[in-house]
Amino acid sequence: MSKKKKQNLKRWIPCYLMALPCVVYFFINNYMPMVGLQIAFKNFNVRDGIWGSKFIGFENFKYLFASKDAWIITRNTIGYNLFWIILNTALGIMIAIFLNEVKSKMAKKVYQTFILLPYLISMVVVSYLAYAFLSEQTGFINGILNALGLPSVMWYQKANYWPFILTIVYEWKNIGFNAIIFLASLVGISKDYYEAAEMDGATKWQQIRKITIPMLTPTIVMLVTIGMGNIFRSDFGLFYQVPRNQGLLNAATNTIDTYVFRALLQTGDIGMSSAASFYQAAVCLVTILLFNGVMKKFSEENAMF
Amino acid sequence: MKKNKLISMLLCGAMLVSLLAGCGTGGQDSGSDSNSNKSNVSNENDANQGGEDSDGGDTYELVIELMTFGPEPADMEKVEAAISEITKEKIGATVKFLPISVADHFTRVNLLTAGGEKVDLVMAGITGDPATFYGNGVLTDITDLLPEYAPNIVEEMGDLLGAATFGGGVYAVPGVKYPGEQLNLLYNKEMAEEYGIEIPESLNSYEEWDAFFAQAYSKLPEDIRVFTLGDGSGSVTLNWDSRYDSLGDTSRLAYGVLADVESGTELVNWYETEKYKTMLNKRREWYEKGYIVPDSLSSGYTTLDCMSARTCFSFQNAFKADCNEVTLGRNCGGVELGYIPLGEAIISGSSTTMMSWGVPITSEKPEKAVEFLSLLFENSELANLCNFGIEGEHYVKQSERIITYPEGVDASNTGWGGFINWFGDNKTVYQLTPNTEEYYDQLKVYSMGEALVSNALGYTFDTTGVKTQIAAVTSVIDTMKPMLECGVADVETELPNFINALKEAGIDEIIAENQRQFNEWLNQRQ
Repeated sequence: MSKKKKQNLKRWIPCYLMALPCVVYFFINNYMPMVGLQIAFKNFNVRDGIWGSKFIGFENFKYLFASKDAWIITRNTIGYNLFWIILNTALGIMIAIFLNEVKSKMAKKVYQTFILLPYLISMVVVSYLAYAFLSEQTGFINGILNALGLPSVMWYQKANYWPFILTIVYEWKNIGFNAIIFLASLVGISKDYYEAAEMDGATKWQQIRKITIPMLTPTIVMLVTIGMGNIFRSDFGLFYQVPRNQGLLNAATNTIDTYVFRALLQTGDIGMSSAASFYQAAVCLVTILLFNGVMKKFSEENAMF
Repeated sequence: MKKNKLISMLLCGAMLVSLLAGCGTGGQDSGSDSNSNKSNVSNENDANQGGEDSDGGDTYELVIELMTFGPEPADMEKVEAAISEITKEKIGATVKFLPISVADHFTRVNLLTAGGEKVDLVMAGITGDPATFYGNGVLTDITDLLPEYAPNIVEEMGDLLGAATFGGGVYAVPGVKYPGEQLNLLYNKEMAEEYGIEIPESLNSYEEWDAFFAQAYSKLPEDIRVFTLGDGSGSVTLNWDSRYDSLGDTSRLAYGVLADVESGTELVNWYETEKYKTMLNKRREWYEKGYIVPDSLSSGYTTLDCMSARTCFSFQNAFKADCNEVTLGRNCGGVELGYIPLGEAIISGSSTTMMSWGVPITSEKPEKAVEFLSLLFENSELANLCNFGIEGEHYVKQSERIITYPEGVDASNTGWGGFINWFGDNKTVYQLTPNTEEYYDQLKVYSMGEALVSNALGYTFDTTGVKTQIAAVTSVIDTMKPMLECGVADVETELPNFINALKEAGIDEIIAENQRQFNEWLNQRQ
């Protein structure tokens, strides 16, 4: 080892030491359990244990593709996620900019809190809130419709309403968190740029397009990459609790997580549930690598890794 | 500069230590509350044993699962101590309960045994059935232990043990000796009197049902419906004319059923039968006429919820040794129920194993667990203690076999209650009011020799070979069945969809495999 390298190493030792707790944590918590991934390929049996159970190849994965639901669950999971990643980013930026323009500090705090609040509510509670709106007998919306002399709508019996309902519920719940992250980056943008732009006579819209968005790009890329990393997972509560497990809504609300839940509820097969997670993780890994690769090609400085 | 470095290193070290410390406590916590309880009690027992040892006693601690509705009973330790006093003398073991909430039961039992935690007896029914637990390798084979340690069980249960026999070995013991199930239509007596609804003696054809429902509908006020199908689960899937045997599948998912219970040998796809279609059409008709509570499926209200909210007049449910109009009325928030029997009681594999006891592979002395079961069916004092707690404290006697809560105590605040397990022989065990001595006469209806015994009693479908298809089919059934059976969906379009989806998911292969195993079993029996 050259002298310079040695010196370098010495210089970085405190940093490595500081990273050590995290490394240990991740090793214990995230890497050691990976030994258990083999369960996905085994006919797991309590008596024989993880190592002793019989190896059966891809047998455990088959049920994921066994019914005609396979296409629906893949389409729903990926479709909703892709659409929501885009919508969440666009709406998040919009709200962050609005919030940033609010002059009164007090009002800003109040708005922020209100927008973030739904993010902290459990999905089960959200499902009852949605039910209060959509109930066929006593729902708020049907109440208004009836008062206007219109017939009730059976929300829980037609799948075609649900892409919209789910999107509204999802955005209502999650938009606050994204907006706060964007707002945090917005606050960090130096006022000088905007002052200079104003001097040159730029309109608000031009300022947003030419200053705000480019400055936000790293945050956007980060959030989208994280979103891509979860593209093959769905929020179980949103898809199971909010539609209240109604079979008629299947075409719009069945995702891989709800499918697996329904399929394995009775048998509790550990091998098959591991297989589902393994499959999800593998697809997510591929998408995240693909997305990062594409980013690297088009704008290297913005790629995550 | 150097000082700074030192400080940073120290900080790192401190962080690391605190992290590891965090890990340690975290690990202990995740060992779950039961663990810490257990260690407490085993300490106590150790102390007890110290005293015992001088007498030469050697006691084993039996860990028994208690399937609760949520919180663990407040006086658990007291009752354990009282039980242990009996068991220590009779079988040289103390008893320790392991409360598990019914919602977690199935996963917890699988994980407990996978994790090697000591448990001696678990409930092998209710959520999950002995066949599934056997398939997952949770239960231990007790065939050889039974004749030696529990001759009374072998003698009294007889054929019933067959319901928990897999691959020639017995893996569970039915918890109730009178396992018949009888379907009934239950109605709110007060409403019947208030609105003058005439109750027919029997309901043996759809004409009778229609007439009864139409009559009730015309007399009831607008906000009370005639009938409820709840959230589409449980007994709701049964019908007065469809007494099939689902062959050990307690959740009635019907992967091929024995439609002719008494003597049939052919398994059919229940969802393709004409009877099923008629039932769906009828329910759809009732739904459209407004007889049925319309939004119970989306609101998730069960039949009992609808009855306790008094928004509904009647529902159907199966009576068993541990479930009659009195218990159901209690569960409906104190509604007084009348009932119309829908056919005779049936004993099938699934009704037999509903409350069964299994010995997990993590039991250190399975023979003690079996001995305990034997004692449970023999010794009514022990069974009463397990079921109702301590006399004077948790219950008071009203007559010979009928008990009630002491003053100021009820089901909600008793120190021993809120669990599902049933202990011992119903015939010799007390019953809570408002049950009367009549209860013991009723028991006969559910016992072998009296009830209709399924031709397939003793046969259980081993699903290991068709796991893929089972998973796919289960998912289809779970999404489509409730809406069809609750009358919410249009039968003409959705039933064919349902059947097609089932076929694509492979239900025919499952039924073929089921039939093959069933034929084999029939041949062996002869």
